[in-house]
Amino acid sequence: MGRRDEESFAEFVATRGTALLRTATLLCGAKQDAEDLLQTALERAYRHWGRLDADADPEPYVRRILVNLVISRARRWKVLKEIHMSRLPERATGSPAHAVELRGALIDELRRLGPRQRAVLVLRYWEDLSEAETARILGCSVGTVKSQASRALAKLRERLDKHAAPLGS
Amino acid sequence: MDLESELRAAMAEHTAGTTAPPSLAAAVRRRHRRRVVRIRVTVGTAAAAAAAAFVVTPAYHSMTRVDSAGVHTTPAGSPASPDRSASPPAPGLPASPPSGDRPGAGSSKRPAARPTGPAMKGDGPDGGPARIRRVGWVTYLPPGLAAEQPCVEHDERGGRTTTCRWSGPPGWVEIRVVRGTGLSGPEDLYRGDPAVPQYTSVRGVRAAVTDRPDSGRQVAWMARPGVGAVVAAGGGSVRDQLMRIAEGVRL
Repeated sequence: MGRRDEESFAEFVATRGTALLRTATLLCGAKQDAEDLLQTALERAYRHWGRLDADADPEPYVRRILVNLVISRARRWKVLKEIHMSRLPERATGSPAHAVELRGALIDELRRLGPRQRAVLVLRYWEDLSEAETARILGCSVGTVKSQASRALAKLRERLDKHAAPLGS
Repeated sequence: MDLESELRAAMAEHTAGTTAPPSLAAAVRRRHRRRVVRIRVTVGTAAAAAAAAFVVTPAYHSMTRVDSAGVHTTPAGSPASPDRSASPPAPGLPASPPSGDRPGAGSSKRPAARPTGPAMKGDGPDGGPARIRRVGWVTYLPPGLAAEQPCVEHDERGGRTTTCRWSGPPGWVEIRVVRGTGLSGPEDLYRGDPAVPQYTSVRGVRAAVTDRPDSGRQVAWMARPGVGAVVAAGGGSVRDQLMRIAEGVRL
């Protein structure tokens, strides 16, 4: 069984870097954060790159690192916010022109979801992974993926309805 | 269009302009190298700190030991040999002088193993129980000398005396450190010896030099109240270096 080498890492990053960066952008919200996160995830994969099977696709492995990093970082930031902020931070108010765009509002609402629910939606509807694959990456059961996806979509629907009602009136 | 389809379209729209920089792989490798260097530096620093602590702690304890009379002793600096190596003598066993011929060359590099064996007991001059005891720093000994036996401590004339002895082809050296409350001057350190003293100074302190019956020569001085030292040398060329050896004794 062959092992991966340096060249295969460069090749993998060149071919899959953009797709992974887009996933990272959706997972964490901001592009700058996404680049940093992706570099961290790729560095972690690079540490063990030589031990990866040459015949297997390394992308699920990198994607799993990425998701775990996002969840860990969100958890850490939540703790920091609880320590440093005596009151909730003010949320940006979207411009009317932006608010009427359903897609822009959807992305905003996606950012406001919890990291796990956001990861479920990104993996299911952006990466088009099956429920089983999503469960494998998140390290949970298929049932959990189903329930998280259902709750996340329900939240999006509810928030969009609230958001769109005043705009529609 | 249902929500899932809208969500897909929104994600695609949101990430449409996002492309990975061409230098991403290089940036990842650079980050990995920085991490490796950081780990190595951390491990190296920790190892160096541990090694330094391992070496420094015994030296520190030897420098700031508290003797049994409760007197806290700290070796003072020496104007005669400012470049001496700051190494304590071996605990118990007198340090063998290396071949270097400069002040400070006679100190041991690190503490030797704790001495054991018959030399530890019943070795006092008056037949009393003798205990192993470290002396102050002996920063200079002439080359060619080796420790005869571990330093011994015994009670003598109302005080405690620690005696270390070295010998070799160039002669022999004996250093006695006397601790006692009844000591008032260097004359008290060699009571009973019939020789007439000549007076000089060791490290700026009045010292008495006398000839010994065994053809050796000795110098005695009070390092501080209650603590005196007697350095004796003889048997060869070592006798001429008596004062230099005495100047190198740190108490």
